[in-house]
Amino acid sequence: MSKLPHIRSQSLSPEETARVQRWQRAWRMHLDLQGQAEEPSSADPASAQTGCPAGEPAFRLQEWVAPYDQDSVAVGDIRLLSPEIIDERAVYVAVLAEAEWGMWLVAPYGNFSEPCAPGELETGRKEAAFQVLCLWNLHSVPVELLHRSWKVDSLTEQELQEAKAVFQNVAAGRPLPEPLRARVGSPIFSQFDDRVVYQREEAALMAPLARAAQRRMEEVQLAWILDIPIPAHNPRPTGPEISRIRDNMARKLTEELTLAAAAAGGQPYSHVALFKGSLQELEDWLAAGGALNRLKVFTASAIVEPQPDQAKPSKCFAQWDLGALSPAPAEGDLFAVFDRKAKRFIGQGRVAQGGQVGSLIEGAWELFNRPAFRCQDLLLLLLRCGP
Amino acid sequence: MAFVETKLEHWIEWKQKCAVDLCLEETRNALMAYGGAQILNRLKGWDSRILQDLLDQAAKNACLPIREGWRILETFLHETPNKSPIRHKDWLFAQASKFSHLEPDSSLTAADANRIVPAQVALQKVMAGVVKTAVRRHCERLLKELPKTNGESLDAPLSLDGDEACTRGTVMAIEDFPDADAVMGTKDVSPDDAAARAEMRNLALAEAKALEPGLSDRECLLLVAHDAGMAMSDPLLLEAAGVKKSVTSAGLNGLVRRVCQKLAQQYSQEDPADVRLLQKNTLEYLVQLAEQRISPEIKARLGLLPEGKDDELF
Repeated sequence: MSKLPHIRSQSLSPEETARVQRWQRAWRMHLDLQGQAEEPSSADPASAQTGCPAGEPAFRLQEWVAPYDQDSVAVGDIRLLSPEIIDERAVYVAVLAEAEWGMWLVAPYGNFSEPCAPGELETGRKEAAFQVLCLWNLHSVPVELLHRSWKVDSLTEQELQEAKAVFQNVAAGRPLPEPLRARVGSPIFSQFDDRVVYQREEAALMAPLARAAQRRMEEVQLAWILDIPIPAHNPRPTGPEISRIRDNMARKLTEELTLAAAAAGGQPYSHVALFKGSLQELEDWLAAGGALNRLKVFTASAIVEPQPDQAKPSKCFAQWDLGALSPAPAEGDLFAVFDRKAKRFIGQGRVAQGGQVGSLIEGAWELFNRPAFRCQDLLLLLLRCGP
Repeated sequence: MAFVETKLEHWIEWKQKCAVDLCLEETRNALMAYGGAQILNRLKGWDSRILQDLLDQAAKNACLPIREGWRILETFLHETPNKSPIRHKDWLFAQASKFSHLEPDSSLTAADANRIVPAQVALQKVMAGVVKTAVRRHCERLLKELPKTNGESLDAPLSLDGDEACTRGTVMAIEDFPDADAVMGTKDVSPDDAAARAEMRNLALAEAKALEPGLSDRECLLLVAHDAGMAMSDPLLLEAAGVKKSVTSAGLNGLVRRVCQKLAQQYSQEDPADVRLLQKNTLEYLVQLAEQRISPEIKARLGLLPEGKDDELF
């Protein structure tokens, strides 16, 4: 007699199940190999320090690396991203479209030969690097990121159209053309499916692309708000530069801001710290492993009155009274606003009125409008580029 | 298998030429011995059928197995059908160049000496990771292309002696990998089976309560983190679990399979679709039970605590 209640359900077709099984075997092989110890060799750091073969130091290898293909980013490119961007494995991306403000839409090729989900397309290419295109992991990236890549091949017009069709299917539910249905992965019905674990890892792998896009959009928004031309692209720091930033930035991080009237009379206040550098340097520092909890933060008083922006209800308006800070911030100084609890960047502002007031120029209302919102949870990080 | 030393000159020559076959004999021998041995070792530790295929291919081509091993590696690296430069090699060199944390123009001090990694060592280190992926992709291709012949066992062990013995102690065949009955390829589409659904939930809760004591603390942590949407590679999770990424991913994978297989055996006479729904429900209840075993400190470190008292700045 049956012990389980019968519930009407939908299951994968045999073809879909077979596809998942092939993917799962690959995943299991991947896990097994990742868990295997490295081959014993003189490549171990320990042996590298004790009697390893002498020779050229590793950084000299850079001399034999071909320059990036910077001059001709185009739709249809297949590009290999520099290990300065992602170093866990060689990541190839397909450049699918050009967007505004120097942004390009790219999708990475996957690490397996079998598509894992409906957003992954089996391309039909023989080369291992290009067998599955992951449209679910599509990113918009600034062109300067693609300037740190090598062009290795091109998509055909048909491949571009197929990629677009799969993306439209996963992003907007547009029906997938019949011939493509057999070439995409099977649907995922449970969060405990291995494929969810894989997708999260792949999404995390692409975090540098998302960060670069966010940084670019912040530049664009700031330029738009201040009614100035969108700034030219700055070359990004290279590996040695990032090491230098990581090593040296701590010394130039903060200087104490004393408080004339700290949180008097139960006034709401936020914390303020000074970062002696630009937003770019701050982000470089964070990207290089800098952690906000290493910042020395100084108690300072500020009044914050977040309220929805009348013109754009999703945005908000807020001001801080910075008049009590000493030394006083300078007119035009930028500041970044962090939520200390959520540990995330939630907006940015600019110092105005001769250094007396800090105004939020970009921030989402819902972030400030949490029921348990407290001004004390905010950290204003004043960025000072000058002396 | 003994470690094979390579020289920087070998790698540079190989980078400048399309394939190792075009290199000087010394380079060819050194790189094939190194890379081919790495490939062979990974395959030996893994799947006998695929290793047999490689040995057969080598015999057919009248060459050494290490040559076939190297061929697998170069095939993996190849990006285009034409003879354009292989940019994956540039990636390898650029990645290896990061192993010495010194700026190219820095003057070396005695204190820097320990931070210098020789170029050929760095290249081999990077190549070791590439070898793993090349082996997997080769096996994926074989599994896809090779039909299962009638009655032939896919996991008949090979006789490997001495240096040829498996480095991992046991030979794991691809067929040993648990099959995909844990894909949970079923979803509940019934809007009105309230009674049946409640009964299913009760059963799942009972199963979860029976399974929960068998969970290790780390498994509880992985379950809860996964349920919270964290990647198994999340640095916060790795720090809290005190292990590498491969361990977290494999740990979660092993736990889910263990639960699913146990229930599949227990309810082997039932409709597989219903069993899959039970598996899914049981795992969801296990998350709730596991969460009770995670200390507030760990939850705070993972950012899983709700809003509350927090006097620390971060």
